[in-house]
Amino acid sequence: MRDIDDRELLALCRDDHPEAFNELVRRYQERIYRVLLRLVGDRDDALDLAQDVFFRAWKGIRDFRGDAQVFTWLYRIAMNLGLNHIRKRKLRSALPLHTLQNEEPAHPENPQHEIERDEIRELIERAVEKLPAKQRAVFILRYYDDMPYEQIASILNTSVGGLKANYFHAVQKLRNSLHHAL
Amino acid sequence: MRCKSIRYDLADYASGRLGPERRKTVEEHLAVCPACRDILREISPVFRILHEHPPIDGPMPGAEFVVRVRERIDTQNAGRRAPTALLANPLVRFVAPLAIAGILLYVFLVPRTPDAEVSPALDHALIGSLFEHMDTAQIDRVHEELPLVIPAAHADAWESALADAKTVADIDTLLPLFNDLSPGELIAAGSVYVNAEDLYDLVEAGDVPPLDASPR
Ligand SMILES: [Zn+2]
Repeated sequence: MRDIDDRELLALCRDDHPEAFNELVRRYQERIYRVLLRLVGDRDDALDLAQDVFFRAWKGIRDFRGDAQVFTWLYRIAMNLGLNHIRKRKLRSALPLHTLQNEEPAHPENPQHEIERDEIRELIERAVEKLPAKQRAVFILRYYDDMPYEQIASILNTSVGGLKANYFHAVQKLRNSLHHAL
Repeated sequence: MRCKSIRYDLADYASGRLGPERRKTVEEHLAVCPACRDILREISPVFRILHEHPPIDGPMPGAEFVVRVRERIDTQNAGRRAPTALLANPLVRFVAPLAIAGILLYVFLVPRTPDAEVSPALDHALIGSLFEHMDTAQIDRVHEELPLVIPAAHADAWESALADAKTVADIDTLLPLFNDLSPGELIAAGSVYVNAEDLYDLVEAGDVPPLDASPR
């Protein structure tokens, strides 16, 4: 099962071969979880969303025509769910009942330089979180996943020209958010 | 060589992701264009700091991950209905976006005396729970409806500022318009903000749609 390619695996999944779908999950669970973690910034949420991605993939597997790569298809589901999640969260945070929680990044047991590294990491995370949802998605796929624009365009269902603009603006905004640390 | 066609490649240039040919084109332009050199100088440190501080992902999902996905599939196969069966109903899901738009229209458009306060509690709970059960397309649809409910006092300012907006920074300056809104109004402002994200792209493309802020 480990040796067969995605296309054959998909055919087996469609035939309700139970072990085939398990293999599909195992093959992509890390990549899907990781991109969701970058997008939503919370491990528990990312894990829930990742499970949702595969559950929806299972439900939609007969409708997937196989003209895209399997992982492009899974990424598309993941980005839809992830963007949806952060948009809902943003709407909720606009409600006055929800106040922002104070986060305490300090780790007193760590040596000094490790604290500084962690603080900068935290700064970067927050700067990425502050990006508008679509720019954040483009930035994560382009920078952290090192994906070609054509593939991002297929995942986010948009144009390459618009994506390049999104990416450029995302980097400019990161620069403004991080300028104290630069 | 137009700067704009080069500019959107500068981030990839700074992070070493351009192919050799494109890289050469960019370098030739940089040699003669101080403006693009300035932009490159500004954004390069971002990639340095990102490179020096890669994120720590922590533990990856393990063998139990596929087991939990399987459990969900088996639950579905057993034909059990989720407790949110009402909201899973296609008709309810179709109506939910309209219901939210209706609530917001009510909040803003029903005439009321100046000191009558709309109680936000009910609206928050209802809107919050409805959003929980909507997919991206439905949420987008609500956002499309929401410019309708910008309070009249802000509509003119929003419209004229938007008409003048030419850059991303111009749109950012619109957002403080919502700083002094009431709780009910903030719900709409939050959504307008989400909507504004898409406006970034449209303004960048020189294609800002007319925003109808008056009730239909
Ligand atoms: Zn130039």
